[in-house]
Amino acid sequence: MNARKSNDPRWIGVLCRVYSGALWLYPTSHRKRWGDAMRQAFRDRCREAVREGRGPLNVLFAELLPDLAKTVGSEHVDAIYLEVNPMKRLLYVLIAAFFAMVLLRPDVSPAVDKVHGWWRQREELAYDRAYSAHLEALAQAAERQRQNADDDVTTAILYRDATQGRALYYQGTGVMFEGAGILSEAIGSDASKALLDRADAAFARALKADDLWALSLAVRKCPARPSVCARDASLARLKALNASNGAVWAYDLADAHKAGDEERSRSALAHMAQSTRFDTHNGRTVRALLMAFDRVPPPSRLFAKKRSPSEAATEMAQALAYPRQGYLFDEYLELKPFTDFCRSSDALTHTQRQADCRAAGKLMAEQGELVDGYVTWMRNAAPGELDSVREAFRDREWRSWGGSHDPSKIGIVGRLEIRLAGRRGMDGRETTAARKGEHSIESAHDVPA
Amino acid sequence: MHHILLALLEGDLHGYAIMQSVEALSDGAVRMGPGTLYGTLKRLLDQGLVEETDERPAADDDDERRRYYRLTPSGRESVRSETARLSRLVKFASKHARWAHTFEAQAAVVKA
Repeated sequence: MNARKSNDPRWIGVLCRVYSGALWLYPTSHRKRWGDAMRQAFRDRCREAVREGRGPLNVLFAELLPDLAKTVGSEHVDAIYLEVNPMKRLLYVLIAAFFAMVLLRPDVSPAVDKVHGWWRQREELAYDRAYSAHLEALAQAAERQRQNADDDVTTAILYRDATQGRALYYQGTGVMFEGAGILSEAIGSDASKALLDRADAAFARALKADDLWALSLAVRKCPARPSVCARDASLARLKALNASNGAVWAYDLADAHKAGDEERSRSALAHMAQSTRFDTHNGRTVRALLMAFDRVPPPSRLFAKKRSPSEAATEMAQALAYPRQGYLFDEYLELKPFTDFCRSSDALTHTQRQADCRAAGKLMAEQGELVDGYVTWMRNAAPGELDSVREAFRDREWRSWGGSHDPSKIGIVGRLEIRLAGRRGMDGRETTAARKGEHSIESAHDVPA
Repeated sequence: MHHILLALLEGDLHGYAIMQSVEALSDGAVRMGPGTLYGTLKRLLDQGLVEETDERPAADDDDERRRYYRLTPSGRESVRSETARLSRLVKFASKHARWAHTFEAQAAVVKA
């Protein structure tokens, strides 16, 4: 051995000393039992490397370090689990768990906090870069769309939508693409801020010009920063400029609900009932219903205490004798709960409400709500009245349903209802659905109110 | 682990000889360092699959500090059962590899 040792290159001696030092990384028991054998095997490996013409760096990086990295940890785990008695093992686990808990809490350990902060920053920067690129693409898309947009409000909406990760077609009829999501705002990237600035500038111009759509959007769904929209001021301006519009007063009513302001609510309801122009088709029907039923409840009953808008609206619906329907007048003048109620079996078991629904059906039909009106009226009609209902709907222009002149924009259910209702109206034949409806009406009349 | 047991089928070997034998057996794919070798040997000794021997196969040309290891009867049994298991696996894989080739060929035809 000594003779061979003298022929060894010097680096073998150096590496063997390094390896001897590295053996201290192993558990004591392992080192004591296997240390000499491992040193010997390592020296043999080095000699083999010399024979193969490999150098010390190769042995160090290709053999020594990987072998150490692979085995030191597992030998320590073995030493703990195989050589330590169970009680001590449990103690080690508890101590390790305690330190892990302490060290992994960023607020406890400044070092971990620093690493965590560094990592988060890197992560956020990566997000920022990715979303900035995406937002820039969206901004360019919005810019292209903007060439079609002939007003500042559409421009503001386009920019705002791009900020939120989506771009809408001009006129807001369909989603073009989505992607960046709300994170873009949370991150506050430069691209996002730039888009918001552009949206703010466009929207401010529209508000300054007293654009009614802009004022309405400022109240309902601000497409710029809230400070630009100045909701309360915009609503006041809207009321001043467009007092005949029931929808404007519906916004006012919603605000009055939130504030629990009785006087303002009464005023808003009165304006709603008297308004001569509603923006939406449903709005016109609601106004007609308000006037026809004359059932605006006394405000003291509605606003005795502060409620959420939905609670207040529920109470209002109750006051109108539709207890199971959540709201009749929400800020979008949604008529659906009312018609849903009138088309439900609930309505059929109450004579008074049935009469209301029948009247409502007639009103809706007159207002052009042909499908809702027809179905509501028909379902609540007295047994002998069905023929006159059909007569009333005969020769109606069904395509005008919902204020839309484009049949493709009517959903599947709408088209089905139109087809069923139209067939009955045109040729008077009964379908299964109609027979069912008639039967339920007849049954309903047998049920005491 | 199985490599070391296979290497010891050739006879009693010392640590470095086992490392060389394993490398040769695996056509150089498995290259053990001393840490890996002695960690595994420790486990094999603890499981009674390998034992240390005082006999020195090449007494004349040997470093007397070397330790030699040999398979125990249960070590041999372990090699046998592991080899049988691997044979079954190889048989299964060969059978399915043929099917895989057939499917690949069919997929290529469909694609074309």
